[in-house]
Amino acid sequence: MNPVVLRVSDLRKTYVDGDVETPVLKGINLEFHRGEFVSLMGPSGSGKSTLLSILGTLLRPTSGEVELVGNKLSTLDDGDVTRFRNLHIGFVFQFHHLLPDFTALENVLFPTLPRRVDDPRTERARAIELLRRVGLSDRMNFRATKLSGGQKQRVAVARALMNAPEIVFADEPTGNLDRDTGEEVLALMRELCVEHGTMFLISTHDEEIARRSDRTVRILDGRVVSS
Amino acid sequence: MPFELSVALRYIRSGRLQTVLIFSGVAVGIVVFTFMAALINGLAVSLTNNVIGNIAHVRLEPPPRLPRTLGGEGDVRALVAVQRGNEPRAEINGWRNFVRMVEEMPGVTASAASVSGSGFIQRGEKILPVSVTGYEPGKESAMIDLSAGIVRGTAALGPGDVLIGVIIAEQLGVTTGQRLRVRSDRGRERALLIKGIFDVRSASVNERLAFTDLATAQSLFDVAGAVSRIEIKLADIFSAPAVAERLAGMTGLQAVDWIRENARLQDALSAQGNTGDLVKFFSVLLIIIAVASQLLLSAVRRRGEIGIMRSMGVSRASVTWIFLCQGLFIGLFGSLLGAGLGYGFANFLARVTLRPDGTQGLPIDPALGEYGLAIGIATVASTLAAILPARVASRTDPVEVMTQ
Repeated sequence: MNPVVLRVSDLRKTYVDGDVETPVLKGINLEFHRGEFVSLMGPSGSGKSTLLSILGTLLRPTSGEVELVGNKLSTLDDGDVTRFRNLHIGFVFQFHHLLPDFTALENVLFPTLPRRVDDPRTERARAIELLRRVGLSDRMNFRATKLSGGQKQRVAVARALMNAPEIVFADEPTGNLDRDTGEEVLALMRELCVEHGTMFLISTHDEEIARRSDRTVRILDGRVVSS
Repeated sequence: MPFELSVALRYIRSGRLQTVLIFSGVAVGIVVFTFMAALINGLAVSLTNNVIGNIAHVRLEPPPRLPRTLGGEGDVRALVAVQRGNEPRAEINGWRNFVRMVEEMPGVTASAASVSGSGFIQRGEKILPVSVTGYEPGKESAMIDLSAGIVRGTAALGPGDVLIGVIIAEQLGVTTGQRLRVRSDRGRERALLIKGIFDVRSASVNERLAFTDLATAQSLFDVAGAVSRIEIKLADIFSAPAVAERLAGMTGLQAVDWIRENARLQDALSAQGNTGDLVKFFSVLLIIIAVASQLLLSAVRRRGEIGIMRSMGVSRASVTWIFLCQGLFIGLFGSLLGAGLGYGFANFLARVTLRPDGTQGLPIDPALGEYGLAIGIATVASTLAAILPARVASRTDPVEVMTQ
């Protein structure tokens, strides 16, 4: 068994709006290992997005602990969390969210910018290699707006892997693509998961993705029902 | 280059029409700013030159002579009423030493000892009141540029010569080479040769003043060997009060500066300057509003991009810098463009309003457009205007982007 890269202990999240408290996550306990390809499933409102946001360090839990790559999130301040996210976590969103004013190559390189790299040429070579790997060598200098939906999502996958993160969170990565393109993107992520040893956690409603995952975590009403 | 700068530049470049509009807005604001500065400053220089071009910047005069009183001892106070005109004529003796002292003073560009007084010019039956001033030879044009204003004859005065203004010449029907009788308020009379006729574009000078050499004036006003004043021109006209104070202390004479004597001009220039400042203030305010609204719009429109940047580990501070850099670039390059256009516009106006005689129809001076100040203020103002949009952008919640 590969080492644990993400451990969640008694995670709770309650949204407070005035006097109204809405518990969304009600004690989540999970472990994920390096190189795992995991699906996160559950109906709308079950707490999937909130869980993904907390695990992605974009949201603080109300209580409980998240341990990412040996670091307890509760011990990090906002600046540390931002740096940590840059180095250890990648994201793939349903609507790709590429930066439209940048080329495919610049989009892939973007995660390297906040950390002031020592050798830009090495980073550029890695970005080019990632684009080659996702089949977009001939599109690297195209602006994001000039790419098709499937190509944009491939760029988003390459970008998520640019900083060689231990974990990639994907929120409905094929939800906005046609079936064939979605298949291609999913297969690509699966291959990269194996190649890079990156743990992928994919939030989805698609049972086909669940079938092709190493395992599936199902949550319902803020609780894990199977993992 | 820090990535915040490169992202800011990319955003500005990609804005296209919006970028053109905001740059144009800043540039127009700076054109207004620099145009007002060139106009107001040019007007101030023109007015000041018109006023002080024909007068001394500092005048040294003998201190007023007060009659000695037969006051009592101790606390007894004496009130003395002196009727002007009845006191003896005050003179400066040993004036050459004072002139030497003045000429050695830094900032003094010209000085001239003179004798002046009132009198009448007579030609046949016609008599006109005049103020006669006699200068040392070669210093006729030290205070008023008579040589430039000569329309007939020459400004170089010899013994027994006189220069008169065009209005006096017209009223008496005389020209150069003819003689006039000049009678001073001391009752002395001389027949003087008209050596030149001047027009210094000032009616009061053209119709009231006559100039002779110093010796002639001394004999007319009965002040042999003395002068009635020493007139001084300065390189920096606004240093006149300080120079006057210093000269008064050094010489014991009464020193009068042009600013004290032209307080109303100063008030007018000040009021004019305040009006210009108000226009400039509003042009900068418009720049701030334009930049702030443009960047605020950009911050809202780019929420998705900012959210994804935040998810990729871009800090709030970096997002803030991206917007501040945009404000800085817009202010800097917009104002550079505006300053160039403003200079061109001021030059164009100065050229098209130039009269055939070389004088300016619109007293605009393109060199006084305060371009550096305008660029500095616009750049700082534009950067400050970006603070609010930067704060809005930096508060973008990446979770909202994920769930969109």
